[in-house]
Amino acid sequence: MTTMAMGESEGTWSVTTRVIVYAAIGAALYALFNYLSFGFAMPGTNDVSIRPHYGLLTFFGFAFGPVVGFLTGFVGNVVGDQLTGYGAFTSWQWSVANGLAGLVAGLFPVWMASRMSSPGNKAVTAAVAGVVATVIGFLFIFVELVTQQEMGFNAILTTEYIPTVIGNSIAAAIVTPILVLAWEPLKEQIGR
Amino acid sequence: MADGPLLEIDSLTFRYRRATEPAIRDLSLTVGHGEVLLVAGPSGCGKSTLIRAINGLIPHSYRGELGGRVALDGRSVAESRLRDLAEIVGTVLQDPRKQLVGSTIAGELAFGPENLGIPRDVIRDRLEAVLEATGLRYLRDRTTDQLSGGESQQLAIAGALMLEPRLLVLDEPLANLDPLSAHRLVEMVRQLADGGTAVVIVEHRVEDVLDARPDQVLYLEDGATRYFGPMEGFLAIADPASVKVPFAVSLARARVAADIAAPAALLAPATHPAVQAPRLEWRGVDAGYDGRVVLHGITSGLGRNERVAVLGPNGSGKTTLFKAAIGLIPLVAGEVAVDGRPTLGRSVADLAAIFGYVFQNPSQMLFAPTVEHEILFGPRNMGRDPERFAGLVADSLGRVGLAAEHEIRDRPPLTLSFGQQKRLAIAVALALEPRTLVLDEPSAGQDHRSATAFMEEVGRIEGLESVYYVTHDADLALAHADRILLMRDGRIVADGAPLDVIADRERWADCNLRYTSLMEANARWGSRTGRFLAADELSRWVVRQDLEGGLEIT
Amino acid sequence: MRAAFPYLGRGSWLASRDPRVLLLAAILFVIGASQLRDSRHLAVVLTLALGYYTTARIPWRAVRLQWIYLLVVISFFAFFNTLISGGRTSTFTGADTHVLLTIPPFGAELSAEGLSLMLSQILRYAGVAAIGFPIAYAIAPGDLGVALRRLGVTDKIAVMVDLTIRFIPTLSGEFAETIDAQRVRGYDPTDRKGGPIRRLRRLAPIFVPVTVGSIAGAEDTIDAMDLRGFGVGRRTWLRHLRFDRLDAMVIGLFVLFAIGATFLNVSGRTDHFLLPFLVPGE
Ligand SMILES: Nc1ncnc2c1ncn2[C@@H]1O[C@H](COP(=O)(O)OP(=O)(O)OP(=O)(O)O)[C@@H](O)[C@H]1O
Ligand SMILES: Nc1ncnc2c1ncn2[C@@H]1O[C@H](COP(=O)(O)OP(=O)(O)OP(=O)(O)O)[C@@H](O)[C@H]1O
Ligand SMILES: [Mg+2]
Ligand SMILES: [Mg+2]
Repeated sequence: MTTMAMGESEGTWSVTTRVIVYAAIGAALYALFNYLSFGFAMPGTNDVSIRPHYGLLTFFGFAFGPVVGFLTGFVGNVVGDQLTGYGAFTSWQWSVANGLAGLVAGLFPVWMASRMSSPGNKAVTAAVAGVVATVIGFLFIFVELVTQQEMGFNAILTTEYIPTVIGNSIAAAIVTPILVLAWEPLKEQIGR
Repeated sequence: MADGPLLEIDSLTFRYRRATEPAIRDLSLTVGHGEVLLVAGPSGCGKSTLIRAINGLIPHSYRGELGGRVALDGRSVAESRLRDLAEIVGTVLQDPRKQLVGSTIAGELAFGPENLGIPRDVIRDRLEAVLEATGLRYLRDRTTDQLSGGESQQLAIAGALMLEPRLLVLDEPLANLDPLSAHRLVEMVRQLADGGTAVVIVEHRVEDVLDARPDQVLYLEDGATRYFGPMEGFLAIADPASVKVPFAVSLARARVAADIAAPAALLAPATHPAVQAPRLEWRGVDAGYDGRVVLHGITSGLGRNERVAVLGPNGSGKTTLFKAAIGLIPLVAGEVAVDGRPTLGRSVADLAAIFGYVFQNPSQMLFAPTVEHEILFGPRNMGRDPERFAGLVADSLGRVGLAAEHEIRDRPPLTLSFGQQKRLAIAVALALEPRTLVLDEPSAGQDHRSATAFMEEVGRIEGLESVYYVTHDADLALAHADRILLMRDGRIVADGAPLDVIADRERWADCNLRYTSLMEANARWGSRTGRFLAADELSRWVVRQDLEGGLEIT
Repeated sequence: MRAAFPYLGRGSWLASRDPRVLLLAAILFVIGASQLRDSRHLAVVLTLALGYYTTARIPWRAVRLQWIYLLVVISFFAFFNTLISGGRTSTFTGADTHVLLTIPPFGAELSAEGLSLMLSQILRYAGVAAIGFPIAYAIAPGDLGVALRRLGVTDKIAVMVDLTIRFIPTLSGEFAETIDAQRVRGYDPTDRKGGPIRRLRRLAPIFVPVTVGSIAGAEDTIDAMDLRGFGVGRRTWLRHLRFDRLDAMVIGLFVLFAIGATFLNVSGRTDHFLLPFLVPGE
C-alpha cells in the first residue's frame, strides 16, 4: 500500500528547480555585493583588493554543485556589471573566469567525497576547494592574449592574474568554510 | 466529469523520509465543486502536509511513506504529473513574498501559463480577466518588490488563478496581514467559491475566516482528524485556547466549565498606569529612508513601566518608529530622548543596552555555530565581564523558557523551530540585560495558543521594566498592553488605554483595523470590568456576574 | 543602498531596438575589434562605436565615473604592459625598438613601439566600452532573460537570469535588515581593525544570515515554481521580441565589420602602426 516518492533525479549536472533557485540567489547576492563594491585593499599592496563576497561564490559551488557554482559566478558577474553600468559583456572574460571558479569549486565534493567525513575536514576541504577553484578558474583571463594582442603573458600574469588570485583565494579560504559549517547542520532538515 | 466530488481523500497517511512518526494519519474527506473547506489546528499538526498531499508535492517532490489515496476529479494525484495537476489545483503557500518569482506584475501572473506553454495571446486575455476579477488592476505598473504584505498575498492568489484551477489551496493566507487586508482576502475567497472554484483554506484565526462561510471544517491534532463537519458543529466543540473563535463561543464554553469549576478568583482592580517618567521620547521626529520621509512630526513618550502596543496598517511606519528611536535610521528632524536625555551622539549599541530590540524575522540575525555563542555575541561585542557569561546564558534561556530544551546550548540556532527561534531572539536581547524590550511582530507565524502564551511569558519576564511591541493581532495587543498607539501614514493618530482607543470606531476602521467580537464584548462590559480583558478572562468574568445574578445577557 | 538598474536610455533610439541587437552587437564587435591592431583603424572604429553609443542617450553624469575608472584601469594595464614587453611583439621585434627612456631599477624600457601598442590597446578597449555600456542603460532589466532565451539560451537558464534580477531588491533589503539586527547587538560594520583574515572572519554575522538564511527560506520558492509547472516541457514567453528591418540592418553592419576586420587580419593589412612623431630623429 505504500509508495516511495519519485522526485527529481539529483545528479551532479541535472538542472532541477532547486538548482535554478539556489543559483539565482547566489548570483543575486554576488551581483549585489559587486554593485556595492564591497571590499577592502590588502594592507601594503594597492592592487590586491579583497572582495569578501567572492567566498560566497565558492560556497555556492562547493555546497550545491558545479552548475550552481558556474551560474552564480557567471550570471552574478554579468548582472553585477549591468547594475554598475558597465554592461553585461564589457568584461565578459572576467564573468567566465568567475563562472569557471564556481564550477571547479562545485566539482570538488564529487572528487573528495571520501575526505569529508567530519565537519572539521569538510571545512578544510572547502577552504582548499576555494583556493584551487580560484587558481584554475581565473586562468581564463589569459584569453586576453587573443583579444588584447598587445598584452604579453607576463603583463597579464603580474597585473591581472596574480593579484586577483591572491585576493580571491584569501576570501575563499576564510569565508567558504564559515558558510559550509553554518549550512551543514541545516542541510539534513531541508533536503527532502 | 463535473459529477462526483472534486477532491477525494481516502485514509491518507504520510510519513516524511526523515521523520519517525507520520505527519498525517488515516485522513479521509471529500470536497465538492465550489465548496470551501477550512483546515485548522495547532502548529505542527500536519496542515501544510495535507496541502502538499493535495497539490501533488507529496509524493512528487517530498519523499516519504505514503498510504491511502488522494484523487482530484477522479484521477489519482500520485499517478498524475505535477504539470497536469497544476491545471486543477492552484496553491498559495505560507509566505507570499517567497513565491513571487516575477519582477513585474505581468511577469508574475504569466509565470504559470508560460511554463505550460500556453499561447501568448491566451495568456494576455487571462491576465486582463484575472486582474479584473481580483481587483488588482491598480498594481499593474508596480514591481513586485514594491508591494505590501497584503498586496503580495493577493497577487500570489491571482498568480494561482491564472491557470484557472478548479481547486484553490491557501496555506495560512492571513499571517502578516493587517485586519482589513485579511478581510478583503476572505471576501475574495468567498467570491471565488460562488464562482464555482472549490477552496481549501488553512487558518487558525477561525473567527476571521467566518465571512468565507466555509461549508466544512477539518480540525487536526498531531496528524489525526479531531473534527470533520459543518462550522456550527465545530464551534460547539472548538477549544478557544487553540483556535481564535468568536467571543460567544468562548463564553458558552466558560458557562459549561463554570458549573464544575469554582468561580474564578476576583479580578485584580483595573490597572491604570499612573503618569510616570518616560523611558523613550520622540520630540517632533521626522525620519525615513534615503530621502523619503516616512515618519511625520512624531511626538510621544513611552513610560518606564508600561506595556505599549503599536497598531496600524501595513506600511504605516510602526517598524520605522522604533528603528528611528534606537538610531538605526537617521532623524530628518526633531530628537529622541531616553530617560530624559537626548540620544544625539549615542551609538546604537549603547542604546541597545537599554532597549532589547527584537526584529520580526529571527533568522535574519542568527549566525553562530551554537545557541551559546549566539547569546554571547552581544555581551562580547560590548566587552561585558566574561566571568558572568555562563550565568548570562543560563539566565536568558531560562527567562524565555528554552532552558529545558535538550542540549539547547550546543544546538545550531538555525535548526530550531520557528517558535523557538523567536524565543532565542529574545534571549539574545535579554543577554544585554536591557530594561525595556522592543518586539516587532512577536506573534507572527505562531499559532493562536503559542502566540498568546508567548505574550504572557514576555509579560512575566522578571527584571524587565517595560515592553513595547508592534503587532497586527489587535485582540492580543488590546488584552496584553496597558496602552495603545495607533499609527497611520507615519503619524500617531491615537494614544491611550485599550478601552479608550477602541471607543472611536471610525478611527479604528481608518487604521485598517476591524471590530472583533471580543472588542464588541469589551466595549459592552468595559465600563464594568474597568479594562480590556482577553476572551477567557472576560467570559469567566461574565459567567461569574450572571452566576451572582448581577448581569442580564441578551 | 537600494540597488536599482541604471535603465536610463529609456525611450532612446537604441533602447527601442530589439534587445538582442545590443547583445549581438557587443559580441560581433569584440570579435572584430580584437583582430585589429593598427591604431588608425582602431581610431576609426572607436569613432563609429561612439556614434552608436550616442544613440542610447545615456546621461553623462550617470556614466562619468564608469568611463574614468575604466580608462584609468586600462591605461594602467596597457602602460605596465609596454614597460614589461618593451614594445616587442609579433610586429616589432626587439632588435630595433626606439627606446625613449629606461626606467630603473629593472631597466624597463619605454619605447616608441611600446607607446604605439599602448594606444591601440586603449582605443580598442574604449570601443568595447562604447558598445558595451548601452547594454546596461538601454535594455529594460525585464527583457534580459527573454533576449537571452531568443539567442539560444535554455528556458531554465533564461528564467534563472530573470529570477536573479527579481531577487536583487529583496536580498538588498534583507542585507540592510541583517546589518541593523547585528548593530543592535553591538556589531560595528564599519570596524576596520585587524588584518584581512580577522576582517573577513568578522563578516560571518552578516554573511551567514544573508546567505544560509535565504537558502533555507527558498523551499517555498522552489515549491511555488514546481506547482506552477516550471521546468517541464517547452515554455512560452509573454514578452514578444520582434526583429524589424532596422534591427536587421544594425546587425548587418556589425557582421560586415566583423568580416572586414577578419579580412584585414588574415591578409595582414592591420599590423601595429608605429607613431612616427615618437621616433627620435625622423
Ligand atoms: N520536509 C519535512 N521533513 C520532515 N518532517 C517534516 C517536513 N515538513 C514538516 N515536517 C514535520 O511534519 C509535521 C507536520 O508539519 P506541517 O508543516 O504539516 O505542520 P503545520 O500544521 O503546517 O504547522 P504550521 O502551522 O507551523 O505551519 C511536523 O512535525 C513537522 O516537523
Ligand atoms: N529599508 C527601507 N527602505 C526604503 N523604504 C522602506 C524601508 N523599510 C520600510 N520602508 C517604507 O517605509 C514605510 C513604513 O514601513 P514600516 O516597515 O515602518 O511599516 P510597518 O508599519 O512596519 O508595516 P508592516 O506592518 O507591514 O510591518 C513603508 O512605505 C515602506 O515601504
Ligand atoms: Mg504550515
Ligand atoms: Mg513592520
